Amino acid sequence: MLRFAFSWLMLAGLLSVYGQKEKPRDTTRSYAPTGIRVGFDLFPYLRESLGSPYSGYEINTDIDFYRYYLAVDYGQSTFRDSLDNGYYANTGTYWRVGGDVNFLLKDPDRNMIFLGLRVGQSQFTNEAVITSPSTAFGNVTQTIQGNEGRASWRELTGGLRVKVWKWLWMGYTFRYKFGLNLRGNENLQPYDVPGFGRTARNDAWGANYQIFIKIPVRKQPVATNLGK
Amino acid sequence: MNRLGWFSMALLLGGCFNPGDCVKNNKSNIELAFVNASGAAQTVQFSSIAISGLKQPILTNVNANAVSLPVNPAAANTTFIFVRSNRKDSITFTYRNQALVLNPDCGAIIYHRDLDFSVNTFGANTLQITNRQLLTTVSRNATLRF
Repeated sequence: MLRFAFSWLMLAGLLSVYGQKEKPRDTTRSYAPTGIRVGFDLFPYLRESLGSPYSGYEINTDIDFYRYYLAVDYGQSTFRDSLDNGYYANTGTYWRVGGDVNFLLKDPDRNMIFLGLRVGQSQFTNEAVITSPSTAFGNVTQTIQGNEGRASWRELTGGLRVKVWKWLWMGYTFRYKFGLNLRGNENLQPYDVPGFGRTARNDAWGANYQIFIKIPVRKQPVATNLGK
Repeated sequence: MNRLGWFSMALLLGGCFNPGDCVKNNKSNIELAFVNASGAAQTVQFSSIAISGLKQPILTNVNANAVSLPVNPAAANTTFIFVRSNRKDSITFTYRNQALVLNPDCGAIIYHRDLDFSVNTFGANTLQITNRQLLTTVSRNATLRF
């Protein structure tokens, strides 16, 4: 927890360093959304191509209300890996919803350095084939089906969104996930929760590297007195 | 990005790496102690102790004040048959199995929890469960009074 707090303090420090250079007056203060950004995460594809036991996809969307953004994510994840004494697999879907605050007010393209909060929830099934040595029964191999599991958690997020070309955006998001709450897993404790990651601890880190398309819903206000 | 920025980013990313644990404290044996009416250790003789369904007894010519009884890790109960010179008794222990994957290298383990019994022919109130979890840190799960 201390490590987490320190890391976020450092990120906040970074943002304040950028913010101290100039305090622009914002003439674009309108809460009407300028567009919906829809994107996907490249990490799952990169991870899968490198032989990771994970596969799946994640879709990220957000919509702006001045410097505030409503963000909704949806994903699917499958984990399959052999164990020292068997095999484990899980598969499921997850979603996150929350908001981000953009600290780059001066940018005419509304590029973002942001911090945010999310709540996440996942539904999944898991299965394990486990061989247990026994002095009386020899090596006993059994297949254990987990009940339909549910998990919920919260996240602190931070990252960047950069306009690359017209409607094309790229960015990354770091996530600190905490407060994991698992339900319905009496037979088989999940090793991994889709969207959260490994369950050995109640907190986890995650990251996305994303490509977005911004669908405009109105013309973006132009900042006329920035940099003065 | 200036030096402070790179340093901060390195610290931020440093929190991403978290090695897993590989601690196994489960076991698949019930530790059964024999006691007398006052609760003191009691040495008892059995010609054999067997598991119902297995051909060979797990222990023969027992002369001890405690035994370690292996449970079937794939079942929710195991019945043990205790043979003395003039009688045969049985105890059926029940338990709940819960699997936990530690990590791919350490493998998965099965915890046996909620230990109880459904059959005891030694007599009423002779068997007492003292600890309901089968763990390496638990030296006694049940006592059988003679």
